[in-house]
Amino acid sequence: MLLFFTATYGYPQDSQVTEKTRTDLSAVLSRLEKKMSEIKTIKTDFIQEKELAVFKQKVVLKGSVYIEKPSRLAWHVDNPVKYVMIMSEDTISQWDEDTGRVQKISLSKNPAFEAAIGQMRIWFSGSYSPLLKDYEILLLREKPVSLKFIPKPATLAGNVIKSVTVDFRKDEQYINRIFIEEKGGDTTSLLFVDTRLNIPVEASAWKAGPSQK
Amino acid sequence: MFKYFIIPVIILLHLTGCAGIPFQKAERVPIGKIEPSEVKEQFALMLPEKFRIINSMVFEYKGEAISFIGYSDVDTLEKTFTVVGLTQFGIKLLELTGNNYKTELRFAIEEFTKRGNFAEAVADDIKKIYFNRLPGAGAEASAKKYEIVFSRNENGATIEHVFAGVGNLLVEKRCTVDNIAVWSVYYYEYRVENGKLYPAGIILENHKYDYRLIIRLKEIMPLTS
Repeated sequence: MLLFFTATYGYPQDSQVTEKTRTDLSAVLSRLEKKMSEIKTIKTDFIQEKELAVFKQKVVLKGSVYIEKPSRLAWHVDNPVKYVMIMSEDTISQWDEDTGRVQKISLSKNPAFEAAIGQMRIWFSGSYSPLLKDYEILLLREKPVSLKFIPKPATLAGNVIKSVTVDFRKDEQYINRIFIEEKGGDTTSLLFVDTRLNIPVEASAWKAGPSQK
Repeated sequence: MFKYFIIPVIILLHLTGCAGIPFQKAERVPIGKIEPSEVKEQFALMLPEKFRIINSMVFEYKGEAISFIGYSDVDTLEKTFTVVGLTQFGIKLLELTGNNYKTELRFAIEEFTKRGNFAEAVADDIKKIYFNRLPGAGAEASAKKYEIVFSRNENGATIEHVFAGVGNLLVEKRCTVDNIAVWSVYYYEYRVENGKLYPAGIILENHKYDYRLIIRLKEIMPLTS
C-alpha cells in the first residue's frame, strides 16, 4: 500500500518527495531504531525557535539536552531564561533562576505536562514503529532520513498537533532537527547542534539547580 | 540579645509573606523645583506607545511560586494587548488578546481554565501594569520632598501615580478603596531603548487576593506587524 505525501509545512525540500512504500518506511524505521538503540547517552545543545502565529515572530530558546537511556532526560535552558528540568519516570524536578526554587511535579497529576513530556520522550527515543497506531508516518526523504508524523484524528496528539517532522543526521545515529506544526498555527523548530553520543554525562547535569556550564 | 533582634525579623518576614524585592528601588533624590504637570509631560514623551517584549514572570501565591515566559504585545494608545505564556521548555500555557473592554482567551491549558474567570483575571493584571501609566485628567498632584503623587477618584476607587527618583519616573501605581489597598504596581530599574523607557522590573501586588506577580524584562522585540 502506498503512502501519499499530502502537504508541505515549511520544508522546501518536501516538494521533491516521491511516494514511498510502506515496506520502505518499515525498513527505515527498523534501521533507525537499531542505530539509535546503540546510543546510551546523548549530550547536545539545542536552538528552539517557536514561531507564534499571533506575533508572526520567532521566539528563540537556547540550551542543552542530556539523555541517559532508558529514562533520564535533563533539559537545560540558558537563554532567555535560566531553567533546568530533570525528568525521571513519573516526576519532573524543575528549577529556574527567577524563583530560585526546585519544584517537583507528578506527571500523572498534571495531564498537560504529562502530554508535553510524553511527546518529548517519543521524539527523542528513535523508536517510532509503535507510533503507527496513532500517527500516519511519511518518509519524506531517505538520505538523510526525514520523517513526517501526522497524528490520526481523535488521538491526544491529534487535538493539538498538525504534524511533526523529524530530520536525522547523515549517520542516522541521532536527530538533527524536529519541526512541529500545531493546529493553532504555531510552529516549533528544535535544532540540535554540537551533539555528542555515548560520552559520560557529568553528574551536575542531573541536578535541578543552577547550570554548571 | 540575638533573639530580641531575630524574633521581630521573623515576624516581619511572616507578615510580608517573605516578599523580598528582587530589584533596585529608585534612588531617593529631592524632586526639586519642577511642576507636577511637567513631570507628567516628560514621562509621557518617554513612554513607548506600542511595544513587544519578552518577560520572565513569577506568580507567587500562598508561599508557592510558579514561573513562565511571557510574550506581550501592547498598544497603550489603542488599549489593546496580546499575551502568550510559555513554559521555559517552550510549551504554550495561554494565549490571550483583548482591549480595555473585552478579552478573548485563545488558548489555555485545562488547569488554568478550571480556575474561575482566568482570562479576565490575567487581562486585568495586564491592564493595571501597562495601561494608564499616566495620571488621568483632573488628577490632583501633591509634591513631597522625594516624590510627586497624582491622585484621582475613579468609580469609587482612588488611583494614585507616584513619581520619584532620578528623572522623576513612575515608581508606583496603586488603587485604594475606602483607604484599603486593593492593588499596587511597582516599576523598577528603567532602561532606555530607542529613546523610550522600559522598566526592567515590575511587581504587581494584589492585596485583595493576596498574590504577587514579578516581571523581569528580558528582551524588547522589534515590532514587525
